[in-house]
Amino acid sequence: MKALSLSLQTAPMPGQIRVGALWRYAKLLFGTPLNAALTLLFGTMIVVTVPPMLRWLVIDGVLFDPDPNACRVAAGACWSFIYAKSGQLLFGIYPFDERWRPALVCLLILALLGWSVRPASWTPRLAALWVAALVLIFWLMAGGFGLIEVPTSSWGGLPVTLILTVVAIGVAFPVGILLALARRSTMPAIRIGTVVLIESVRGLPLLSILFVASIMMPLFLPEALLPDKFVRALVALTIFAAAYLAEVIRGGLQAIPNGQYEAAAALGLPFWRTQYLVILPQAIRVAIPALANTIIVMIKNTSLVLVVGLFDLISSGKAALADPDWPSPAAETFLFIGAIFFALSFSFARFADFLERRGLTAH
Amino acid sequence: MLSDAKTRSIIIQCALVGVAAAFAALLVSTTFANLRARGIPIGFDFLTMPSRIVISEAILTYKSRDPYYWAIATGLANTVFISAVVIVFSSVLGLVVGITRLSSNPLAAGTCRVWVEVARNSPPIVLLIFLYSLWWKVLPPVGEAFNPLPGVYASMRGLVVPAISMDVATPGLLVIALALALAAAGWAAARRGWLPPLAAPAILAVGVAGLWIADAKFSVDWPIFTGSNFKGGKELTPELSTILIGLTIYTTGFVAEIVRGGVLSVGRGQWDAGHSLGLPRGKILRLIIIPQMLRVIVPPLNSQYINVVKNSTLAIAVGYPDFLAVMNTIISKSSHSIEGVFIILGVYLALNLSLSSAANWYNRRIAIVER
Amino acid sequence: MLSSAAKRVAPMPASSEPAAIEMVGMNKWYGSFHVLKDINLTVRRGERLVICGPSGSGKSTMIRCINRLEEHQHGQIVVDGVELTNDLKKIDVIRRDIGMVFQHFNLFPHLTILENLMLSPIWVRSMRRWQAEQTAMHYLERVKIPDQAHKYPGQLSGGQQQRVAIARALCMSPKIMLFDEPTSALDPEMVKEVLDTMVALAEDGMTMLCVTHEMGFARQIADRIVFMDQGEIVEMNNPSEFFSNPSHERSKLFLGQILY
Ligand SMILES: Nc1ncnc2c1ncn2[C@@H]1O[C@H](COP(=O)(O)OP(=O)(O)O)[C@@H](O)[C@H]1O
Ligand SMILES: [Mg+2]
Repeated sequence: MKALSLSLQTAPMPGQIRVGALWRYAKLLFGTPLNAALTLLFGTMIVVTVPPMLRWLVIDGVLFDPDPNACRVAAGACWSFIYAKSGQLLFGIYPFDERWRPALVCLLILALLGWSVRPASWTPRLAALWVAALVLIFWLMAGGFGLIEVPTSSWGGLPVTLILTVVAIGVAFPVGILLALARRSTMPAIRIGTVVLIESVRGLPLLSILFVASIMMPLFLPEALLPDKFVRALVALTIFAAAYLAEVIRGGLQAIPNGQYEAAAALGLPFWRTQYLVILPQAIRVAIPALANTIIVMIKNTSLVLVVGLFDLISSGKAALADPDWPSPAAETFLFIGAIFFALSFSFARFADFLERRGLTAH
Repeated sequence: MLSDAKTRSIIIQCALVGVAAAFAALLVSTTFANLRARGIPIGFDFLTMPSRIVISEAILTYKSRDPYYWAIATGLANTVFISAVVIVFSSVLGLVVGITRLSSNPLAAGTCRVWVEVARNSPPIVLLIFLYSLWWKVLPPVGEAFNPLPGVYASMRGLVVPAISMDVATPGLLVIALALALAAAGWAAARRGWLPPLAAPAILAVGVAGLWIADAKFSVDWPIFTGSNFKGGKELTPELSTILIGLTIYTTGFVAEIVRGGVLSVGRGQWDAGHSLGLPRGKILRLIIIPQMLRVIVPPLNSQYINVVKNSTLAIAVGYPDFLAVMNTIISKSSHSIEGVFIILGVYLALNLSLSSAANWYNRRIAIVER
Repeated sequence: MLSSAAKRVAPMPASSEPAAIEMVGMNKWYGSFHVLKDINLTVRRGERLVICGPSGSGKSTMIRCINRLEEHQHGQIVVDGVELTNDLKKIDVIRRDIGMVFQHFNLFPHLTILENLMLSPIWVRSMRRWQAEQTAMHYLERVKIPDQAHKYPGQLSGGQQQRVAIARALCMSPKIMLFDEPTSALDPEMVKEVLDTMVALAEDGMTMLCVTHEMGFARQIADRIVFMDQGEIVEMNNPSEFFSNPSHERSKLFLGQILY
């Protein structure tokens, strides 16, 4: 509301838009001494930094020349490396002839994400669709039943990042809801247990949880039951996400007025029906901005699994850089990887903004 | 009588506690069985044995002959150092960037927005690795060191910054004086509104007097560029510099958003009301806007500071030995994994707890001001 | 408020009617604060009770004890022959028989009007969807807003929302209806539409307990008026007696403040 009224005040008067726009910009840039100083400061900064960056990125850069020597000679960025190595960057050490499978998996996940983003498709059927898709994805990645088998240790790159994100959040979400409800329980044993669990997970860096998972699990579990690295990382990510999502959902639950519980009780709805039909739909709606933030954090967090030896985007980038035929353009490679993460997380953030605005106008 | 509310609640709780206890017992017994099978001893007495591990870089003085506990302390000091520097710099920068984002100047606001969006949407580890890979690409060799600020030099060999050192003749007296000053500050804060005109100078006086009595000498050691080398100052390796710069860039984006939210959370009506009472702008800002803004800002800022501590573990990505990296080495070297895991959990929980309780204490102070 | 021409259709219920609600020596504390002191009250089937009294006197707490939104600590509450205890099954049974209308409507903002009404028929009464929809539309017509069925609560006026809330409670086919100041949150021009709905309900013979300060309404439909103060039932009388000749000093004082 506040932002709205502010922007209304600066809106141009009708009728004088053409000339007015230019004049308005000039006034904004130089209208007051402070603004003039800011313009000067930031203008200088941009003039000093942007042209050399552009020169390095584009003008002096090697775009498509497949000859590695072109990069050695050029003064700019070596994009032809990214181009030549795109398969390895995106899919890691997945067998070359089978790369269509992870590619298909990425497309499938992205398409499904895009589909799920439409509020119109939020029905119980969507969950079933995701479960079916995950089975399909797992089959495509791991093989068997007619496809060549590929062990998880050979999975790599973008599909690993996407699968970790989607599965960790997908499993963590219902767990987080249960934890949030448990933390608000009237039963002290349940409440205290949940508080200890949630707060210790939230108090620890994800890296330490990943380490602990990879150090402790071999000790906790009998050898035969020991899951592989991929599953270990997935378990750690899921626990981590569940603790954070639980707190976000609890925030949403706290925003629901008591009258809603009373009305549901007066209608004779029992506890779980009250939660499912009345409370959670509202609480989750309230929590959407915070939920979106947490999910963005999770998308970014999957990048940490390289530390416990999984082949995510960063590790496959490093592996590609080790090729002695090329001049090892590390900055370009990590810029490319950063751009992929940025695209995922930025588009998700914009979507969350859209949901928030929609939520504001709905009621 | 399973439908009796109280009986049912007790049964459910007992069942859950029982399941949890059984699960824990199972884990513990398997763990001990596993340890015994591998012949690994348990106990913290290894801490006093010489570690023989290498820590490539340390704030404290560390040699590989030193015992394990000192290796742990060294890693912890590195973590605390990184966190403290990043928190200070990102708070200042975040304040500037956050407020500039609200400026009516589109160039300034836009540039700051780009900063915020890049920080918020890139994984910090990618940011660190990227910056690290830029280090040799962008920076000149030592001979042509780049001098962006007075006393700060950047080159392929890392950063060189002025070092502040304090020389104290009688440390005991200084500690007493500082404790007194702290106590006075706490007391003044508790009774705020009562003697603010006197409190600040009094605390300062106690502190200065303490320094004077203890005969403390501060010296700033400015680095001097000799053409091929540096004399004086503090040299930071490219690894440490990357972490400090990268995490500061990253955290600044988040602090800026918090600051912006805080400023926006105080409605225009508050300014109007202040003006209508005839208060000057500075007074409105100090008496009305900032106190309300702080209430909104402190909790998220605190969780951001805790995030800095957590993100300092990313030092591992560029090979800087922070606490977690040191612990990881210790665990693989000494095979005291259970003990190591407990130390890791304990230390991070303690660090977070101290940050949170500081924030809570501060929050209570502001809450008192409110009444 | 209401035209005095409106006739009282239903006669006083014969005292032989069985008790719908029976409170015997009921006491409630909030911590050490004694909110309800030794409440004894019997409501017969088909009876219409209006409860009034100064703010904070415990009216809401008393009627909320009847469907166990609040727990009483001492004494007995028997609803339709079932005593309220900790037994969750009995609480469920009792809540199904009692509809409640709140001061602030408490409609579910994320559901449409129709969905609000269909909730308890489907999930509590286990009706089929089409059946629930029929029931819902039937009651929406009775409160005269069938055309709003597909809107959300936030798009309706306060008076309309409260009528929806009444319809929602009726959809469970309750034997008893509780009203907690149903018109206090409404703008004056909307009070009448809600009261008219309640009068119609009273004329159908519903057992009703209304906390309200609408004295015209009380005069028109109430069989008895209960006056509460400081957690006690101070006076219980038929409306004509209560208004013309209150037997208690405190009731007189209260009426004086309310009527003039
Ligand atoms: N949840 C509660 N905790 C403590 N005291 C309460 C609570 N609810 C109500 N009270 C107190 O009980 C008294 C009766 O409240 P209420 O039944 O709402 O009064 P009324 O509806 O007659 O205005 C009031 O003094 C109120 O402050
Ligand atoms: Mg009340």
